[in-house]
Amino acid sequence: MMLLAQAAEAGAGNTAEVLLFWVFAVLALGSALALITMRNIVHAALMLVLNFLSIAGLYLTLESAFLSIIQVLVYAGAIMVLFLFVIMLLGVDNDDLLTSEPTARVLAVAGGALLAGALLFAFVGPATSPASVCGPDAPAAAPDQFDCRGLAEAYGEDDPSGVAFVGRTMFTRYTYAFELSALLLTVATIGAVILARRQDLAPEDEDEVDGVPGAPADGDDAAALARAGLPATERAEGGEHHAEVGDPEPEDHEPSGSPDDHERRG
Amino acid sequence: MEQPLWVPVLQAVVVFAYYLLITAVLIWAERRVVARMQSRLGPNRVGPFGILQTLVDGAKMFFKEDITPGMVNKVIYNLAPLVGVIAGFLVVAVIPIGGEVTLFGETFTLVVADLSIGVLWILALSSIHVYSVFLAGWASNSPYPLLGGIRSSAQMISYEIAQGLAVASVVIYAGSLRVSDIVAAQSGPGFIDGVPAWYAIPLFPAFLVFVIGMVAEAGRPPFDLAEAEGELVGGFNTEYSGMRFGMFMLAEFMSVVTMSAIVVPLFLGGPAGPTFGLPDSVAWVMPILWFFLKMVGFIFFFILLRGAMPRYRYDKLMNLGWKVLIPVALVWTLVTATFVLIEEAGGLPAGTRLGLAVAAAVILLVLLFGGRASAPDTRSVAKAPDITAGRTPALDEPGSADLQATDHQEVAP
Repeated sequence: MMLLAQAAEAGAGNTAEVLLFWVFAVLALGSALALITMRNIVHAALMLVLNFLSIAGLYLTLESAFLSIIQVLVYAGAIMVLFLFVIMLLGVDNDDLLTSEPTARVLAVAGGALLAGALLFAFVGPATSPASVCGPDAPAAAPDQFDCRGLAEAYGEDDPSGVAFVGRTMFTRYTYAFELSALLLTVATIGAVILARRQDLAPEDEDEVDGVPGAPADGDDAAALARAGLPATERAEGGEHHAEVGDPEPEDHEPSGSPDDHERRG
Repeated sequence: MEQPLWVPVLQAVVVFAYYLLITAVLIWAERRVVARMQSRLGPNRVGPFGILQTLVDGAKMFFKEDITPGMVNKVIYNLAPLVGVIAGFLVVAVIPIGGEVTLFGETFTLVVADLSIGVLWILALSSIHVYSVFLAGWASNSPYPLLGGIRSSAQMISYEIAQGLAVASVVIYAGSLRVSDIVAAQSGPGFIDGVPAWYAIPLFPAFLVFVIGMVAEAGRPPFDLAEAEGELVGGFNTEYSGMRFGMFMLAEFMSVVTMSAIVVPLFLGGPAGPTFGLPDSVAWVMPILWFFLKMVGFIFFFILLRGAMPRYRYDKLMNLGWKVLIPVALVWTLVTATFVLIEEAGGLPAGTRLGLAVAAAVILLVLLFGGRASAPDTRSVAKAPDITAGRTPALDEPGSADLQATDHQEVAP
């Protein structure tokens, strides 16, 4: 907190900014604490949303409107929605509370403290000291290696919210990082799809009619299913030719998830 | 700013009041128009033509007993409708209602805040709106609201992606995220003389995706899966009553209005329109009028859709979103970006441009009409067994049996 306050004072333009900083900082820390202590998982997830929103507020006090709105759009609007979505699809009830082992709790607190300390020591401390690369006592070589401008200065007058600056930087200086993270996300998505499909098809293989070998889990499953289903083609054509029956996803995921939910709730 | 404080305050109040008023009138108009389409009269008792019906209904909602069922998660149950209404209201902040007005020696820009990231603000708030829907569904702690909440949040997330991509091509084309810049970018001459440079024309696919997306985003028929009465009772708001239910209704109708208002500056040139050589003392009304007319056109489109279209089936809705709208919007974003880069590099000669346009039109026509004859046949042979084969009816889960039943119902004329 001391460091945060220091940082606030260092960059304080006016009292409103400082006030907003304190409000958002306290909100961010409070919601982060609440996130890890709350027993109800949906409440905890909502605390994470609040945390993201207050961090967006902090970006706003730094006059970086673009980062701020992207924070809301991507983290609060997309990622947390998906998190909550999964939580709900798993059928978590109001009275399903998280429990943790006492030893795990002690370990978690110790690990968290260690991590926080390391981060403060490694990054926040040096960055706020006068001898830091961008401080008044900076070594002579530092300004060449680092971009020691404030956000408003870096963004320039034509681009007050930083849209163009962020875009330019992302596609020039950080192109590789950007493309690699895009690749990583794509791989993760494909992996998730493959894992989900395998689990889905497994029971279906057992249900397969006699004489048909179990379909391979992924890959040529379409062909195998087509082979398995040849006798039923007539039925399909007669009844459902105009419906988009080709897509197994809504058929398999939604209904098979929801009846389970009912049973678990009821 | 040199403006006195009351100018922005007045602007904000006027804009919010304007959109609230339109929402109230919309609810009445929708009931009247749909009634007319169904050979009924609709509300016609309170005020002239029943126009005050919404007010009376609002008052009724307010004084109704507000039941909080025992099983709900109280905090989130109370939070959900608020989130919806707040998100719905905040969107309005970046949407203009017309050009600029000079009254009492002050210039009023008829928008609450012309943010430099206005377009993202719209997208961010509509994604916040999703919270209201599924938190309501989850907090109700009851099966049908949960299903309705999951359905509609999945729907909103899917269509948000398509809408976001459609907006991306607008932003690329205009080169700005500020709503007023986008409007200004559409003010020049168009490709063809006499036709305005509204983005609905060069970015027509994006426009189409955006309009379809906004119907789904607002949860309106034919995409009102959350409220499929026959299947899900009232959807996510089943357990709500009184004013909390009223808030959901308000948020829904509000989103119809705000969506109709968003599409006008993005694709239809905002308040631009001919002033017919009127003197300046009257001409300032014309932008407001044009904006209003364009917006009302979209609102009317929403209402007509509700009266004319049967509800989509859920899997078809998802197919449309993921397999048609998102690819179309994505491809069009790429096309737009390429086009903008070519323009920056000096542009194409007119002949090449015409040739490209003709080629694009031919490809589009082939895709639209050429593929249709063969595609369903191969598909139904190759893939249809997914559902019907491999599962004996006795082993079917109840969910898929239901779906199959609806399939057959839909096939029967």
